[in-house]
Amino acid sequence: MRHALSIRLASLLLVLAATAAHAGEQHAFFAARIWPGSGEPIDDAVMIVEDGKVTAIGPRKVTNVPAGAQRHDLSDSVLIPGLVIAETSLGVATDDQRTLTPEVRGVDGFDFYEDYTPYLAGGVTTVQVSPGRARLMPGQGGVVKLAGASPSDRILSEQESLRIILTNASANPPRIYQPPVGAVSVDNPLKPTRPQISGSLSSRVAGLNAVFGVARESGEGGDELGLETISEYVSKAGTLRAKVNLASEVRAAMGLAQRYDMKLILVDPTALDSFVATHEPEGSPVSGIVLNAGVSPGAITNPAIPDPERKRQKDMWEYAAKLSDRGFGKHLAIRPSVDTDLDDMLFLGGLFTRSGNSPQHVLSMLTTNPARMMGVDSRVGALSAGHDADFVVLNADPFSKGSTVMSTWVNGKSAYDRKRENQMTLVQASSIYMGDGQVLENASIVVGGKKIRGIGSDVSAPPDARMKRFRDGVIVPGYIDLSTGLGLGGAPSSMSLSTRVGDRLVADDPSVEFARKGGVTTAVLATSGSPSSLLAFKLGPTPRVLKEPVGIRFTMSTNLTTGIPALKSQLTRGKAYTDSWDKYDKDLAEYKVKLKEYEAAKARYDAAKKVADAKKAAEDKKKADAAKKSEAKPGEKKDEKKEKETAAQEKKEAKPAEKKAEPEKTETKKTETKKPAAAKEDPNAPKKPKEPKKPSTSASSEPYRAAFAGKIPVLVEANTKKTIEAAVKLFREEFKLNMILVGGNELYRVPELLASNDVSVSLGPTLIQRADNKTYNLPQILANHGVSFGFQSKATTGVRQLPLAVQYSVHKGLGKTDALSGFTAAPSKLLALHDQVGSLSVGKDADLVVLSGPPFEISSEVLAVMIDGEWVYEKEME
Amino acid sequence: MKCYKNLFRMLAVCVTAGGCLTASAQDVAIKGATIITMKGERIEKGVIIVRDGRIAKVGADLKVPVEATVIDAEGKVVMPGIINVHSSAGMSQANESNDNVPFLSVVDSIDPALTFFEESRRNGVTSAAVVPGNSTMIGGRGAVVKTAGGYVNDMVLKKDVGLKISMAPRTGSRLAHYAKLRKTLEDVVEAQKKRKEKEDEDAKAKAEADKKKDDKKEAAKKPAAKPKTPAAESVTAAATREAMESLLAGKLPAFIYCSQAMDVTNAIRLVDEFKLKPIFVVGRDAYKAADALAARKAPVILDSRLVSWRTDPRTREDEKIVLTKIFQDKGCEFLFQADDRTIGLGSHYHWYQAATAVKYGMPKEDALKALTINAARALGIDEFVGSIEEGKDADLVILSGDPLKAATWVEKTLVGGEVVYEREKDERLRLLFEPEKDAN
Repeated sequence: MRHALSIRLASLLLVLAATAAHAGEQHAFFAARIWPGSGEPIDDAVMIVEDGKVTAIGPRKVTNVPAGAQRHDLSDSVLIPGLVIAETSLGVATDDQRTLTPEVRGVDGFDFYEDYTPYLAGGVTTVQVSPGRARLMPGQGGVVKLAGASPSDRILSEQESLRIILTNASANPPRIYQPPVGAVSVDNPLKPTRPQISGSLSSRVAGLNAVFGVARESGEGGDELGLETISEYVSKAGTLRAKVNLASEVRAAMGLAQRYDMKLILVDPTALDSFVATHEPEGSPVSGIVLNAGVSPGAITNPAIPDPERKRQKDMWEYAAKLSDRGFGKHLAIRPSVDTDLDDMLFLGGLFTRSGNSPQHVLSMLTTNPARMMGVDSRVGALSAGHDADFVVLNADPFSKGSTVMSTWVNGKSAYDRKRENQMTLVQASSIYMGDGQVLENASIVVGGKKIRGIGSDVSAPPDARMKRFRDGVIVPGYIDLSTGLGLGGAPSSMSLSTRVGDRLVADDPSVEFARKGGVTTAVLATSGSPSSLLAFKLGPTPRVLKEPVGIRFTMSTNLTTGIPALKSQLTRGKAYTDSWDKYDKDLAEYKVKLKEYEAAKARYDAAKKVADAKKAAEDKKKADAAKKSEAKPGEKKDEKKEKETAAQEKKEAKPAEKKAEPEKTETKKTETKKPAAAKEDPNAPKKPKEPKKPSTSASSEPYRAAFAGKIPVLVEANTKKTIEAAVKLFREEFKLNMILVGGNELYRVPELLASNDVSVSLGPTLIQRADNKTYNLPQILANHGVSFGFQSKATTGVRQLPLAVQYSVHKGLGKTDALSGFTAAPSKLLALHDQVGSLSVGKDADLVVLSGPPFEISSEVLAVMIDGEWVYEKEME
Repeated sequence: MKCYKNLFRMLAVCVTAGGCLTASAQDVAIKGATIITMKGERIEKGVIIVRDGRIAKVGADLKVPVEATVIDAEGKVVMPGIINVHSSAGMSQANESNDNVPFLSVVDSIDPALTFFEESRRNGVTSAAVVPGNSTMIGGRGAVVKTAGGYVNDMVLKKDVGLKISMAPRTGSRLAHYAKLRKTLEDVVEAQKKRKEKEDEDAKAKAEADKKKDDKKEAAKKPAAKPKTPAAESVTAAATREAMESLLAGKLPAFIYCSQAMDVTNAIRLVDEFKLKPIFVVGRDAYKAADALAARKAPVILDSRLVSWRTDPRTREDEKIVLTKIFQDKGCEFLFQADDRTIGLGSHYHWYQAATAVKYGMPKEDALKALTINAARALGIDEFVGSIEEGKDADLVILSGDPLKAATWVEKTLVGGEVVYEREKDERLRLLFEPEKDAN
């Protein structure tokens, strides 16, 4: 029984696997918008791809997505067909000696193993390759893809067109063709030289006429001329691709195409006025007009000043508009002036949206139109059922500012994927509350790394920044909770002043995850100990300590008789400890100044001593030498004089050193003299100053130093009127500490006291007090008295409900701006963390809360929360 | 059971005795060596019996005929002679100045006295495919020759082993080269078609004429109109036609030289268009097309420089290119080619090439097979050489130790059962290693 079951299971699995393998070839791409190349763009669209071909495309709501299809969420992106460029010279472009080499194929010169990533990164997937540059008939063009499985799949058309060049470039080939002379034999006779077609346009066109004529008549001829190849184009209504500039060249090309029944693609025409004036698509041989963009993106050139006698030549986009009006809209295509510009065809295309060409029309000039004129429109140039799945993913609509290729796909496979190196995120919302009272409408925030890198309605951002749009969203700074039990994976036990828990914070604490959904991004971990140290940290998946200690917490005992003296003695001890350190710091500063002076003096003294020693040694030697020699020489006198001079100099240098030297002995290694014995002997040597003695460090007293220096606040929990008054008196008046009142349930009785003593308040968890049949809205009372305040929940998972409590206070009369400030800017200032959190500006931590409406509106809810640049909560993902 | 065994033994004795009777003086027996047959397992302490230049028997426990010349190879290693699969040495000149010479055969150019052959024997190479050089378009036909012999005709193993076609132009435009190559092939197809049409026409005319003859029988005694005799074809033209037609019929393989990856693409397109039977000779830079080559399942002969460095044009980073590793990873079976010109010291030797491949991860057995049986198969001569099997030519190499070890020497080389190289008698080697004589 069991066996049978397992066999059945196995076979079921096999079947499943088989179907999965088949369905795995199906892909569904969801995009904000798809431009199919021809036709209107489809919003909120989906495209189904199977085996590298598009099988369906349409709005997400009405399109059936196969169950097994692999889903690609590109919902912030725009899809366009892979760009098709109607002429490039990516094949080898070296010219032959001969003017007519119709048998040459551009495809042969295309290296399929070249790295085309830069062009794929520009969105180009298909190109035409033309052989030659400066010959009358350099060969045949072909159409290839820049990526794909195998070279044979990548060739879309091997013999797309017969290329002729009518511009001046072909006027000067070698006048006489000399076949290469090899070893001459019966099998390899010496071939005669022959004149080549060259010179003026009329003579070249006449030559072409003659060649085409012979090709049409007989289709046979000397294989040197390749007439067979030409006859294929002439007799089968092939495409003639003519590179032309001037109106006369356009006309000549038209004449040839008409006479020999060929379709015509005009490439690079620059003077099209007469063409526009006289031609209509009806009955015209012209199947394509490839306009040269004429400029390189970002490059500055000096164009020639046009001849004033001539008619002013228009910009290509003007011609594009005029030709479109004339009915040639479907014949237009755009090519770059040099092949290297293939990496930014979307920018060059964007130029063509001038002169009133719609983006959709310009996109067709880069996709559908070129594909059609080259006869490859059944495979590329559009995104519709049956076409190759060659498409480009953009971050915004094509030709719009900053529109960038994010990835390029060929035959349904990724051919290019932009590496998001800088990882910037652009968050857009309908309004942004900066936290300092300012509100920006329709603005964006740029987030890079953990910080905010830009904020405003027009921000600077790299083009590949991730885009996150909240169309009706409101962004506020992340909330700060002044007292929580979060961070240690459970309710924390009582801690003392010496306890440090920064490295004990728990990652992925479920209660933290729950809490941050309310919008709180920074929390203070507080315990019941008094005094105890406080820790501020970020509520990200991995907690990040902002500051420890961020404050000292005291609790006022209700028994003031014993409580006050106890607190007083603690504070006095703390003050004494602080003072001892203050003195040391002062002494140390003095010592450092002295030490510097000493070192300078010592260096001078050492240098002088060295000189003296050297001189002495030299003198000794000389004396010895002199003793050896029986007769003294007159030259000695000079030396003596020199000696005297150096001695005088030495004295001068030694003087200041003597002055500064202090009668104290050396201690540290750093300043130890090289010859301690000699130094001891020399009373003139400078003496090292004495280092002040360090007071002993006490972990439990250390926080007091910061508190008394005003660097961190003391948070004093007091709820009754009496205790509040006593606390203010003790901490604020007596010890001049930066005091924050915590709780303060009865503060409504003494708001003036707080205001006059400049005491801030951490309110909560109960913001509304009811006493004597009255309701007191504490935040509102404080706001009206100009006392700054923050909020605290004193909870773990309940942190999430703190915004709700504030909302209730707002409901009862607290101003929204005051409420937001009490949640963000005010507490950050109280904790001296305002350079990092509490408001939105460049350089601050990227802690954002996205709301569905204005903050503290009853209908508003949290849509997303970002902490340190990472999205930690997104409602739509739930 | 036991009696059966005895019966077998008796039979065996009879067979051996019979063998002894017919044994001739040419019999050679190689005894005691480890035999790497390239077909199945190695044979330890095996015996190879050679008769009339062929391998008569191979095995572990064979009785050596009394008359046979015994080569004691105790502790040595015997393997089939190496097959040089592509070389343009061995003839007076690699390429003609004319680049379209399908009518030529290297057989007319091979010089048995060249040191190439002596060098080959010294290194255990017993067969060599001598093929026209790469600097050509259609460069003539190659041949496989044994590396020992006084007259070319005695040495030839396979006369038309393949026609050399190069995808890289000797000078000038690559595009024009392709166009010319395609045109040449198209012309052959066209001419063949026309000739066939004409032959059919002639046959038809003849049949009709015969019919008329039958009808009128003796009524008209006029002889039927003779079919036009074609203009006499020159010898060269005939040879060209023959070569090109057998190329297009797939009878004559094409050694297609591809210097770059893009040449491979174009070569494959030509192969498909004209139904050629290719042996790809790929240049150093063609490795990018390893995928495409692997998919063809045709023989691939690697460039002699197996390891090189390449600088990425965009990142400017240097990358070590190991051809054997790339082709192996792509699942493409390949063969080695030694350098004809002594540029690199090592790449001049097949041993070195195989050892390099082994260094970069190729199994040793596979590397040795590439030198022998796989090479023979690629050239279509595996019926005769490439492994130690009964009936095959006795082209053998006796090594002093394991092949591909640096300290291993070729002790003896046998071609057709004859010892054509012996290390003890190698005069040049002796001179090379002899200590320099004192100037005094």
